[in-house]
Amino acid sequence: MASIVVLGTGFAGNTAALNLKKELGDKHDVIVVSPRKNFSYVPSLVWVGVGSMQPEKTQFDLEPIYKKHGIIFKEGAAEEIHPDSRDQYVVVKYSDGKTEQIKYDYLINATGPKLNYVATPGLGPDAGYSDSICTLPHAVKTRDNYLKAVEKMKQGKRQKFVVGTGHGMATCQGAAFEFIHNLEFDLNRRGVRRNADITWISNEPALGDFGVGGVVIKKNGNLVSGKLFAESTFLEKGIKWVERAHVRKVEEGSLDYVNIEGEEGKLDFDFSMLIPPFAGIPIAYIDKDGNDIKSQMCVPSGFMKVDADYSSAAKPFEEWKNSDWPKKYNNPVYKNIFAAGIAFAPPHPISKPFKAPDGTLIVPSPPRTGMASGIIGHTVALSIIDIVKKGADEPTQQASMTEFGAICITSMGKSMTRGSAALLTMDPVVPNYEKYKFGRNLNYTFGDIGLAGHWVKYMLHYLFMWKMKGKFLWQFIPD
Amino acid sequence: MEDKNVKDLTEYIPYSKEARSFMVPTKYTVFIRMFIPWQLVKFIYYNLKMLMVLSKGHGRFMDT
Ligand SMILES: Cc1cc2nc3c(=O)[nH]c(=O)nc-3n(C[C@H](O)[C@H](O)[C@H](O)COP(=O)(O)OP(=O)(O)OC[C@H]3O[C@@H](n4cnc5c(N)ncnc54)[C@H](O)[C@@H]3O)c2cc1C
Repeated sequence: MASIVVLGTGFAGNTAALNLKKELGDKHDVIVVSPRKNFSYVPSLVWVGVGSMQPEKTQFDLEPIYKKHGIIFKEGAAEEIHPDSRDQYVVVKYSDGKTEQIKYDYLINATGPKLNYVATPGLGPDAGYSDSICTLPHAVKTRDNYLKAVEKMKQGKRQKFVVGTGHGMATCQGAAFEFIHNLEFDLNRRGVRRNADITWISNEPALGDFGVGGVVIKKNGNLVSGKLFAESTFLEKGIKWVERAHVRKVEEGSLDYVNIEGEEGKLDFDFSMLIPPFAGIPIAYIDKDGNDIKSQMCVPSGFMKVDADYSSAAKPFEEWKNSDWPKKYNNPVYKNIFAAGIAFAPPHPISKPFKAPDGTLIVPSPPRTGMASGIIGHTVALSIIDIVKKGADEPTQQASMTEFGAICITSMGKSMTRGSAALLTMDPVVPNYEKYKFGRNLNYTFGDIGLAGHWVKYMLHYLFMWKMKGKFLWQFIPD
Repeated sequence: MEDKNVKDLTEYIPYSKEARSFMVPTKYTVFIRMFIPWQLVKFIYYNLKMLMVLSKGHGRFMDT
């Protein structure tokens, strides 16, 4: 009997756990560990942040679902991994302070990101001056602050809004882009748009880069850069922007930045929503002699090393190759430990890095979207199933971000008759310039804006909630 | 005073950085993006496009 422990219940962990249990049945244990028993549908937090979706609609309790599927659930946080002992185990800490050692034969680290607000002084809703929508409590706080600004506008006061990334190496530009459009849409809906100045700030080399090196799409018989599309959405709505910028510090009512030319600037705001940089969840890795082996297991940002070529990070952008990217997602030293979703360490960014004259690195970190996280969680689960059931001696499945595509639906306003979204499909996620002139297969890379995009976004909310709940026919809904 | 790195096209100044290359939807484009009958067609088209990307598959089985 094998014991598979999954850390985390996001898109990666939950997809892995449901698939493992479906295939392995009662003969093997699937144990899921997470400090929160709720699944959070993170993509819809952009709507919660402007008050256009009730917070409850993005959450559900996983405990009864796991019970129904025969998955053992432990509501606690993994604090240590002991990969070396005869009985390999994870130390889990519960909210009452008690700890438990949970043994594993195979371990999937799907713990997602630590929101690293401290990287920028003054950033973040807890100890700083900016809001964020990365977790439900933060999105609710964002909504409350946003609604206060709306009240002031209703009284005729002008308000300044700044939205974007709060650090030169932040990721998730797509989420910030959705938020700024939803904010603009909502201000219009509430009849106060004329009292708002809205500014975007981001670390992208150009608008529309989204951390994936931008896209080129076919449009009306031309090949067009996604940059023009992203800019056109801002020009249409009167949103101003600052690009290629690292936010140095946030203070009450203002932020300071430097851009890649070394120019310094300051933006004043009454409300700001800035995505923080991500780091790995702080988990200790301890060998059989009690030594801390985290530096062997993780890259400096704390994400777990997998079968990627990390030496490529030191090479210039022009020498990065598709073969740098991982395929099977297991650790090179402890091959029975896998990392899925945001928890795995990418070899290097996808976008071209730039440095400000003072050496500050300004480059979006690679996004591992919900779809990519689900695909990787599923792939890792299928490999473990083959190892357990068929006795394969190494992972049998591969899913490289240089080979699989992604569908991104960027909400630009939530309404069934007046809303809209930009639908973007890309194949592959990491551009392959050796194979395609413009980095991607243009038959599968597509972009469009309109009301129908919103219908798709809304449909996917319910479709993925259904899948993540493991309801009837969940397995036929794609990752 | 406005920060000089802030970009927008509130005022069209020929040959300025912003005016050098840009795209703004025309009234017709804005209308068609919201025109429900056309968007119903698009909704079907988008679903087919997404199925195309998904049908390429994402994981690959390797011989071990
Ligand atoms: C506002 C926003 C909008 C987004 N919109 C989209 C979108 O439209 N489409 C899209 O594809 N992607 C979107 N994304 C990205 C997407 O949400 C992430 O890619 C996805 O959530 C990552 O999944 P994950 O499973 O790797 O991590 P997470 O979803 O972060 O899950 C991590 C899990 O690990 C658990 N955990 C944390 N610490 C521990 C510990 N010590 N021990 C055990 N468990 C632990 C957490 O409780 C959680 O259950 C968006 C992101 C944001 C922030």
